[in-house]
Amino acid sequence: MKPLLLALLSLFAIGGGPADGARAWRNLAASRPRGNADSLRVIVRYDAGRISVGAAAAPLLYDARARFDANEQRLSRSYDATTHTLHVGIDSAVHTSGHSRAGAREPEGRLDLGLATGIPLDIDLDLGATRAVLDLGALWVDAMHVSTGATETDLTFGTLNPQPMRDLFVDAGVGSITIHQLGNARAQHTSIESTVGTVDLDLGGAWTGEMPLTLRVALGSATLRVPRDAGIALRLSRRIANIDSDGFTVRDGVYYSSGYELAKRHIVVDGSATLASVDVTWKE
Amino acid sequence: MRASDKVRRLRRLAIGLLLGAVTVHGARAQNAAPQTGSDPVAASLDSLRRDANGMTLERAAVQSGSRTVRAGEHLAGDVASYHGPLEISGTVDGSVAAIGGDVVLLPGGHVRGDALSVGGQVKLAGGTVDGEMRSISAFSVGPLAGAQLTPAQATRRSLSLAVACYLILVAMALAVSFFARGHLETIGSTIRTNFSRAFLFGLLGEIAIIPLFLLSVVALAITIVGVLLIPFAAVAFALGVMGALALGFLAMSLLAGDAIMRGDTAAGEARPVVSHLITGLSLFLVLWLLGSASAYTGFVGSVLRLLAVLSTWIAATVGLGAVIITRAGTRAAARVPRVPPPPAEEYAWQTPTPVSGVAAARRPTPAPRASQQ
Repeated sequence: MKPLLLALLSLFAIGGGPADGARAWRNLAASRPRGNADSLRVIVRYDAGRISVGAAAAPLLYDARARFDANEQRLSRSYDATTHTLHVGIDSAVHTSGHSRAGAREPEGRLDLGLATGIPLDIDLDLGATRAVLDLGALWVDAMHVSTGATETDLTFGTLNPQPMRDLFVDAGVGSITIHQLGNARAQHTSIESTVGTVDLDLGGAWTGEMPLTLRVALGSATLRVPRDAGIALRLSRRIANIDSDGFTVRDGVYYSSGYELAKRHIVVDGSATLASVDVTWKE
Repeated sequence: MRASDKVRRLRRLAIGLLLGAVTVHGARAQNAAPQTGSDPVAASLDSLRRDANGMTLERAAVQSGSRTVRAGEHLAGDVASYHGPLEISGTVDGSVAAIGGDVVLLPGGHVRGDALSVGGQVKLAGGTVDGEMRSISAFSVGPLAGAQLTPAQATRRSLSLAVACYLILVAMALAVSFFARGHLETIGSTIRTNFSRAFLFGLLGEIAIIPLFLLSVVALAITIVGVLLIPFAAVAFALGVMGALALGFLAMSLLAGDAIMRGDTAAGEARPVVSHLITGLSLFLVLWLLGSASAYTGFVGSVLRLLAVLSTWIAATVGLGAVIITRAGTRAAARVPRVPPPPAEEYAWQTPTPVSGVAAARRPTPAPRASQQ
């Protein structure tokens, strides 16, 4: 047994040395005064740890604070003063085996991004395996495009957007996405797509008129939380999918909530549900 | 082979592995040796230039220790301090940086470019910065770990991976030998008697994994309640497949260990399953270690790696097939008639004749033909 023990000890010696990627945490803080910038386009590519987006302190155009492992990631930012475009991106190590190091996705890494209030923002977020908390209250969001991977995303429109948003597009790949008070976004066109996972949409907020919404759900479930004073029409193509249709009237393949015509404001949902369930719940 | 020869070989293997470990560590230590420069300021400026969040500064702009731009002073270029704070009360048209210190913007201080601190902070104490205020805790330069591995690092990583897999399998082997020894033996005996059939079943099982998974997802999705169970089912399915593969592989390792350690167990003595399992696993480990260690030796390395992959795949496939055939060792495979063992003694082929003799059997006689009647 001695030789075997010796062999095992030597194997431990090979495998038990200091890891190549010992943590080398770095903190980055970058902010810029607003100056004469009258708009801001923000492009973020982030796939490691947690990310939050919110409002920056008043005189600042942006305020980014990040913590990352310099052995595995490089987080950098750049600002183009001509086009008023801020790029924040992370460059993660990809090993020869084709897999990112597991530690690169540990929750210690994070990015907190504050954006200017009072100017229109065009936000483009491409998120990987992250936990994202996006609190867009107090911001003027002119357009927003969120593309997520294996992400748990929480998006809140806490206050009414000063101007209607041109476009809101959320592509939730695998994971869950929760949107609070979507109506406050005042989006002229909203599109939510989920490949695998859950979608929880709170359609509340101080909006009026009609809210068009495109919803595509596959392999998962979508919950629509509708204000009691609103009417909702569901025009969804179903493929092995279920729509919670209690209290709904079906006309020409469209599900109308009771009292739809008499409601003060209307939500029209187009799209599809494949191997998924769509539930409608009412909120006061 | 005698038991003492095996022990001697194992000892040689152990010493070889130990030497390999020392060599790999030594190579790594050499790779990790810090690069020293004669001018630390120049080295820091080089790091600052290469850092994605740094900036490019001329050597002449840097002053060692603390530095102050007085009120009323107007500097056209960049200003930097090294290992000391940088206090600005005047105007700087360029950028400012403090390497190893704070940048402090005092009342009246105005920087038209960026303000950067490495290892400190940019503090607005009444002054203004037109550009970006930025602080980084330390430089982030050099290649990312794993992005460009040196051969020594890649080898070490492969070796570590092989050892990690081995240790996990050893832990599983211990658990299985204590809690599911009977199942393991059943699977092992099935492999021994039905090797080809087990390989075929294993191959079919591997091919069927993805279609089976998709089918089960669809089946769950058809029932609305089942949709919610899909994530759990996916995890359970993956665990089931991995468990079956591991169990089958352990059974193959046991057989390999039996073959290596044959003769070490005295007749009638219970076979030490754990030792045999670990020996069998070690055989695969040695294959992988050889493949990993010779990854950069060209053709030989490729052949060794291919050998390791092939042998592991065949073992896993055969094991999986036996797991399928025996329903994870819960039922024995159909028995194949065993060939009687060869005679042990020189004249054992002779039929012993009892002293009383043997009654001759009556020879069957055919019925007479009609023509003969």
